[in-house]
Amino acid sequence: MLGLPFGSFLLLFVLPGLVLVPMFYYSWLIKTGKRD
Amino acid sequence: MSVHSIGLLLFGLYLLVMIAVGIVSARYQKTSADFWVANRSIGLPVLVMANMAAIMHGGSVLSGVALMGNIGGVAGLPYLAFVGGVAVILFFFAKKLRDSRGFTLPDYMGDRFDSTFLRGFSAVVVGVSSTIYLIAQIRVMGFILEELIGVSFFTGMFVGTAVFVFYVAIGGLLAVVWTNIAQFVFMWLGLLVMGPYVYDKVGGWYDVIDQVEALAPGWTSPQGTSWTLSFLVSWYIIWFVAYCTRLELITKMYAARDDKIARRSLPWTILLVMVFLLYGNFYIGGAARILVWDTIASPDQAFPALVTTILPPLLAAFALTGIASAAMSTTDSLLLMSGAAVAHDLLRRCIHEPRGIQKEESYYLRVSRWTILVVGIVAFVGAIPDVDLILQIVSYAVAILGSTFFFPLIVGLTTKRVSKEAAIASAVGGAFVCGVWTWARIAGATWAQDIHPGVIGLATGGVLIFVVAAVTKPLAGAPVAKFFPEKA
Repeated sequence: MLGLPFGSFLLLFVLPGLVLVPMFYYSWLIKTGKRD
Repeated sequence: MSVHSIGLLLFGLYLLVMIAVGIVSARYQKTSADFWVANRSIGLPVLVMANMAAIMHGGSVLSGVALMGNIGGVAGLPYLAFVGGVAVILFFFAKKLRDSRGFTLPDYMGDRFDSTFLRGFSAVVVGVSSTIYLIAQIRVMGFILEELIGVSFFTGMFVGTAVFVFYVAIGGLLAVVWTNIAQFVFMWLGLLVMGPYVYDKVGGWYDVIDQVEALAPGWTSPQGTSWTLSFLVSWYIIWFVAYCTRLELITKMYAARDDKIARRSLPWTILLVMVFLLYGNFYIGGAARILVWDTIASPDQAFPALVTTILPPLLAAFALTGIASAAMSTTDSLLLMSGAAVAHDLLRRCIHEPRGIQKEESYYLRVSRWTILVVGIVAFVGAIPDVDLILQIVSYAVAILGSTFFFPLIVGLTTKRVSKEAAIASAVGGAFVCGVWTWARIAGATWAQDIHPGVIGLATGGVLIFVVAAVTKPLAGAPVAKFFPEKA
């Protein structure tokens, strides 16, 4: 896990990623006109 | 030529570019909308870079490397809170704010809650906090220029302030956006040029983590080398709310070409912030801990020491100037917001319009420019004395902004069932309690030390908005229709 303890790995990559993915998905829906 | 001579030459050229951008931008300034929101013309790539540059500046490199080198990667971990805060702007705020066609956050408060008092109160909170923050940032800018290119602290503050006040006063937001992009590019070039040299000395990500953990046990842990769990949690809460109500981001939503571009800029902005923190703070901060920590007197010197240690003189000058160039990428946004609070929110919207006073757009454009100049001079004069109190207050400015605006924004943009009285109680009560708690904390009161003023202010704002909304009548009619067109 990138040499990091589990807690840091979670806070540094996994949880921000879990928030960022729906942000990009929502952005893609807006771009393609599937969401106003 | 020495590193400092080359750096001065590059920095002089950079200042000329900033002045030229200001002069070109001035040709597009005809109305208040041109000046404050760049005539709502900003496209996606430009908005992403301007967002990034407005929230991450030269000081973010210097202090980020110092902080991470000192206490560990934990200092960068709150970017989970940054992502969460920006997600709230994306999902709940951006579209309605952009579609409301306001210029500033006080515009939202006044329009949504149909209250000139709330508009004026918000303008005072934004104006005062931005000006105090600006004073501190001017000092940071002076420090950066002193550390990186070797000019004296006063000269750095004076030249930097003169240049950014000039381009903001004549070019408005358009000049801020384009200079921010130039600063963004310079800053990234400065950081990237270091990459191969840092890699050569300390290796890649895994190598840095292994070496720095061996040198400073706990550096890679979730609590770093010295933080307690309660400190970490309150840090997360404060940064989450601070990013939801981050004025530099919210103001730029108004300047987007349309609401889709406003929203689509946000995931890209936060992705760039994450890359910046992982590379520009975490990796380089770790490398500084390994390579130069024993040779410096204070953590603030870590970045310049690292650069001059590992890079040949020409590249060192290039890297230091790149970061120094970004020293003013936050100051210009803050100056614009302070000026807008006075010229647009207070003078035009709170004094002239309620009294039926009609003025030409050219009048407001002129007033805006003079306001920027006066606020710039006031902030510069305020930055000259070394007043520790200002720096202490600044560290709580984001907490006061969050306590004032978080609940009126999140509740006012997601439900119609909120009254003017509830919004006033939340904003005024949250700001007041947070302000008193901050004052008590700075004065040394023991009861105020355990909990961050922002947490108390937020809790007050939250309780007040729901309690008062429950016993008062929600607003109806035009103010609601403007923000809930489909449900009005």
